[in-house]
Amino acid sequence: MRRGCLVLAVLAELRTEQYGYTLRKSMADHGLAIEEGTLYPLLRRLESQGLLISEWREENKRNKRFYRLSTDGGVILEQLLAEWRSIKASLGGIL
Amino acid sequence: MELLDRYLQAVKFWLPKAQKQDITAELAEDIHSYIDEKEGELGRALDDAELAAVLKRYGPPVFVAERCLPQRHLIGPVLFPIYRFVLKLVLFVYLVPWLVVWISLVAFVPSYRAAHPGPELIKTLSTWWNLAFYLFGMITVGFAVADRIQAKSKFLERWDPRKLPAVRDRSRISRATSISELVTDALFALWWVGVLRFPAVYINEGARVLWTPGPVWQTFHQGFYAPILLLLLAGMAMACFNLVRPRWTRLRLGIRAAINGIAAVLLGLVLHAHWAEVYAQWMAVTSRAAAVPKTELLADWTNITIFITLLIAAVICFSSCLYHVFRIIRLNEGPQVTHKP
Repeated sequence: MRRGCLVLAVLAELRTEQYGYTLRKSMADHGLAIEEGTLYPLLRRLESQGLLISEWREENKRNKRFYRLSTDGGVILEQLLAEWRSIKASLGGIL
Repeated sequence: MELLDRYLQAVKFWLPKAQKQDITAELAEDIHSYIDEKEGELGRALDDAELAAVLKRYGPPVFVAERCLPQRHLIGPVLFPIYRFVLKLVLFVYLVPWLVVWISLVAFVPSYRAAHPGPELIKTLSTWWNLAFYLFGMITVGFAVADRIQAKSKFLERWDPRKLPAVRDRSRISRATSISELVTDALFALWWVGVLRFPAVYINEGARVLWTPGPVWQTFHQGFYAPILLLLLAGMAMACFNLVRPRWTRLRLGIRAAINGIAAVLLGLVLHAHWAEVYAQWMAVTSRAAAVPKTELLADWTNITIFITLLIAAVICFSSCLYHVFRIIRLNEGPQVTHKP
């Protein structure tokens, strides 16, 4: 369950461009702490599926890899959000 | 930051060449960002001990490298249940019985121990170990290859529910079982009464080798001629009847249990009489051209093979007898329950 939620959270967070560390911090601040060993392979997988775009850029004199949602990623995120809302409503009825 | 460079170098070692730079650079950036944050909180640079603590938090280099890669496996979750089933089959149908026979020989047959004194006895087990090693290795490699093919072709996903096996009816006797019993018993009976004979084989340099009944076999054959022939005829009669009326009843299960039980007792009597001589002369091997030591070796192998075969046959007959008795107790002669939509 957590794995599916992480994908959704990562895609949603990357509507705004971020690099790995700030993404991790942001998710932890929202109560979804994620280890770097989980996050980076996930980012790579989502990128290979065409849902994310990454770019190496210099910031504060250091090279950082910035990720953002691709057009396809935006479509998938909308589908996932719709599914999430539907599940949430169903579970709300059951629980 | 020498410590950090050493850490990144160690992580890099475990990464595949194509991803070394990319993953290490991203990991380095993540660690640097974390260090920056810590240093910001402390208002000073981290010392060596604090840096070591940060790296310890990230984990051992080999683990970090492994976690940064996609999940890798030799045999994936799709084929793993089948792989496990095949391994279990090989273990329980082949390797465990082999080991049981070996343990029985060592424990109960003094002549076997005498023929293989001290370390020689353990050496005889090396065959089993090699066999187990090769079988497990070959099956694993086979499934690893199949897993790669399955990942590309998805052959397991092309299935048809209509091709699934029929619901098993435990009371039904399959035609194939009855026919195979009939043929096996008939062939054995023909050989037992002398109509069929052992063929001669040819080994090195075209030397003709003949197997002829040895003294132990002749005694066994004369002593048990009638009972074994009767058992075989009873088995054949029952197989014929099962072909016409292919359902187990308590009576037929009882007859099958009795046939197997009597066969187990007869085999037990024979084995008990020759327990102390594992290389007893069941068969004599003769050859005019082959060298004498080679013929003797062949005779030894033949005789120990017969001994082990009789031992396994006795265990199978006894187990089968118990199994059929168990089925008599459990047999439900009422109508079969089927699932209806």
